[in-house]
Amino acid sequence: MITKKIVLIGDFSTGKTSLIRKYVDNQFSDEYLTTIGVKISKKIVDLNAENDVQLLIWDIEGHTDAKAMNPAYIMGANGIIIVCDSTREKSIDSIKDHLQTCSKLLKKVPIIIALNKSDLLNDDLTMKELQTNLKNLYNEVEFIYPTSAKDGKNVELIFTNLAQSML
Amino acid sequence: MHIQEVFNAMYQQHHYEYIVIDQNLKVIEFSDKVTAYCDASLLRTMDTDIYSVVPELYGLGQEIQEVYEESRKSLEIPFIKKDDLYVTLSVQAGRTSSNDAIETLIILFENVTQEVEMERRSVQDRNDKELLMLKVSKQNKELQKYNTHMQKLVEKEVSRNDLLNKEIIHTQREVIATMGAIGETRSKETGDHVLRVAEYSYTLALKAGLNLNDADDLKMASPMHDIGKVGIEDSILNKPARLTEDEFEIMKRHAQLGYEMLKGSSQKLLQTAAIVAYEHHEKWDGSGYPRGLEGNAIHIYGRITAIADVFDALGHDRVYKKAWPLQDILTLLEKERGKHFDPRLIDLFIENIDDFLEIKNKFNN
Repeated sequence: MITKKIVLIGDFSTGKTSLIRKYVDNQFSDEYLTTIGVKISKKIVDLNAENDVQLLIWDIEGHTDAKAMNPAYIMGANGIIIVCDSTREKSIDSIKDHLQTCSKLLKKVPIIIALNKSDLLNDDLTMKELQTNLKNLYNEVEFIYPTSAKDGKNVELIFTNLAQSML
Repeated sequence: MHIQEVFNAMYQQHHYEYIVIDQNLKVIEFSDKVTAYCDASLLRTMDTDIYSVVPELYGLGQEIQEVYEESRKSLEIPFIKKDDLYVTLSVQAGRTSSNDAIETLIILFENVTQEVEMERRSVQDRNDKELLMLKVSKQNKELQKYNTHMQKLVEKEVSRNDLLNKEIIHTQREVIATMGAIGETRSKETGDHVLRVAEYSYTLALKAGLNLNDADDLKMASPMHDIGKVGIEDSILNKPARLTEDEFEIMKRHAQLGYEMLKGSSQKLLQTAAIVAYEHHEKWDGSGYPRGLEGNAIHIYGRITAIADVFDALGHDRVYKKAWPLQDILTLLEKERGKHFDPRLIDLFIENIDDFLEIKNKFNN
């Protein structure tokens, strides 16, 4: 079986841990508990009969103004999911910095942007506009999806799409 | 001493656990308690690949190779969560050959759970504070948006109310003008008379110190001073001869009638008109009608209109009399100072007689 390392990066409290928890354990909690260091989860993605992929999903401590991401966590990744809080502008602005970090540490790997907490955004039009703007800004990004760890929106999709892109 | 015992003695003293791997990244040795951090069954299998035992190293083949080749001193992955523990994992050079080439690598596991727990508290606290500040700032923005919206609504309402008020005032003026015109049709006076009375009253009100609004109200209301005459029968109202005492008593009722007609309104303009209709025949010395009020008990609107009404009536021809010369009128006004008329208002009127004569000329016919 093929093993692939994927890392979820993004500002603090954007919902990286929640997305992984929803994907791996199908659970969700509203409580915010900051992640320190890294927690690695495993999940086998059944893409087709011949291509089962074991994902090593790295849930790393979120980026803050006081503490940058540790490069050791990102090195060797086969795919990246940049998670931002779609209701928090600063976390969206940080995408640029996260992409720069990836390009410094990794060869060309597929990158997906998850505009998380989409359930808190009332306006569908705002989300579509955001997606279009980001797509125009960041050509190197494979997919941009609105996601919600709370209602499960596109959670499975971002991981399986990334798995397919990594093969 | 076996090499494992040497490592055990060396690393366990510093609370490290370890795994030794060869150049093919196969596990060759490990400390007893390293099984706290990785799968013991895999460790004890021959030719075990290090990635199976320590999946955290997956993808880091190049970096591990760099440690072998000494182009990288070590590879460290801090704070990895392992169930309830946290470990920092470090790949370092191990045994060297006789020609100083590195033959093995050591993967060290350091339990850093306590350190992480301490850091967690401060990071959680810091992040919670920042989230709270973001929330407050967001709510402030929402509040500001709401306030701006409310302000616009209030401004719109105020402007709408202003418009409505203007419309109401305009309608009131039209109603009063129409009522004044009705009054004229019942009176022997001409339309110019009420117009001039209005202008004299306005000017005298300003001279007497009333503010512009009150003076303007009086100007609008004074044409209605005789509105009560609509209730007086034609035979008396239009009698070409002098009225008998009884007829005069009936005629005097027009002041009360006018008041009754207008008093019900809560509008300031109509209230002013009611006062004027009621009190324009009152006299300073108390000999007027309908109530025989005296001095300042007569509203200033009544006192002003009384002068304006008499001054204009005497100065113009009527079917039953000729216009008086100005000097005769002024003599009468002075004679009636403190009797029929308010002495202060008479003084002001005479002092400013040129202004009133200008009005008389301007609105003559």
